[in-house]
Amino acid sequence: MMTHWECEQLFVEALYGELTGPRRHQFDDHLAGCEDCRGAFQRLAEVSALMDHRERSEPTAAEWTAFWNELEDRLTAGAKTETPRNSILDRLRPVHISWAAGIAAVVLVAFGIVIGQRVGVPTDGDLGTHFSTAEKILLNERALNYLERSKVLLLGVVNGGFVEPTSGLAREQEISRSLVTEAANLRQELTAADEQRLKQLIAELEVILLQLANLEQTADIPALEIIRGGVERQGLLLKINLEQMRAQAPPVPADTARKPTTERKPI
Amino acid sequence: MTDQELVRRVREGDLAAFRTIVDQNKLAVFRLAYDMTGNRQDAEDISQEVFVKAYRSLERFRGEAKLSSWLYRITVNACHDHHSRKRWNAMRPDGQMEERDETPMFHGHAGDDPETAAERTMMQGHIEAALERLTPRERAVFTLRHYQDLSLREIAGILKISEGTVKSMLFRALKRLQKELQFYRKDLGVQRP
Ligand SMILES: [Zn+2]
Repeated sequence: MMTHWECEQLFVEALYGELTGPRRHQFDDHLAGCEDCRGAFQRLAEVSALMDHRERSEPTAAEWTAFWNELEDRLTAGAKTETPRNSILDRLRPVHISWAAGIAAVVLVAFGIVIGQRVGVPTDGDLGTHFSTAEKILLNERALNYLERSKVLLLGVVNGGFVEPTSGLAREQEISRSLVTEAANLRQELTAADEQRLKQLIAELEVILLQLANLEQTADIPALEIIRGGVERQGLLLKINLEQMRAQAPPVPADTARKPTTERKPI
Repeated sequence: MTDQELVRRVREGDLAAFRTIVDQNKLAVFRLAYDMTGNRQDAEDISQEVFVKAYRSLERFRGEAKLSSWLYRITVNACHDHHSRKRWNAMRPDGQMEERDETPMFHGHAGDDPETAAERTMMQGHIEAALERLTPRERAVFTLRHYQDLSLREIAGILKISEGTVKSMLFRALKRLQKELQFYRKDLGVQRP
């Protein structure tokens, strides 16, 4: 007999017609006898049907002709005249590769950590000494917001900036300084035991952001390379992603018959 | 003509062969970019990027995957890039993000009565807003399965992640959409056609 958890694992395949054979029969049998799973699956099917109502306008034949003409111009303008749009695409490439390479390291980190623990929701008896729940949730929101903004900045830096190179690093440095100030505040306030991993990540980010803020104004390329290397070596962007995913993880269902979502594999 | 044959001709400098590739795939690329960004102009720009990129890196296409899958992969990466760039541009010097209101405008269809048109516009807005709440990766997975009708296995191949990961990301995406759109229920007449 299939458990609720096993049944739920098949929702996606069943919804999209990828569940066949004996597994489909087992699934249907379970649904027939389980009101909870039947309801949950039904609600998922409803939202899926709702998403079918999405509309998008598409280019007309004339617009597609214009599309090709522009494309042809770009292709025949010569491989040497790189457009800015394309150079950004090219610059992103090493990042994708390094993220992939960093996965192994970060997965190891993730295994040592309770995945799915919500950053914003305190556990019993684990509250900071003087923070109320509301304050703690606000603090964690600030911390997550800080991580997101650091990610945007680091992506910009690692990818060589999305702005014109002529403007130097002035914008990146100004943003860095603002974030460093925020990091110092957050580190002081994150005192609870379940916040220490977040605090550690913020401290790691702070080092990188300080380096960036203190770069000489005259396009200090070697130093910038060191910073990029630091971001990649420490897998900072991946750690931020993981932290964000943890915060997004759904709370553990009250129904104890279900296998808790916290035991799902991390991405 | 097979993908391999087309690719061989393009490598030999046959631009007409590349046009065939574009014609065969442009709609899928455009739709994917549209579904990933929710913005038609962005989708057109990204589609241009994708084909420029594909043309210039065609020698790296080994024919192990379908040409369309390879183009999907380039498209997803281009959309992620686009997303990062947009976020970066929306960042103010004090490190805060500018609030952006990018809810797309929808217009009713000709022949709709005003009430139907308004409802339709509102629903489109809600659907787009719900999609905006997904992470870029969740949105990629959802879009590829739901709108591009690719199998979980194909998506895993395109995104170079395991099928199990695709499944859990898709489940998470659906749960989030469900949460965002919970005020729409069956009694509002929403049924799978
Ligand atoms: Zn059940």
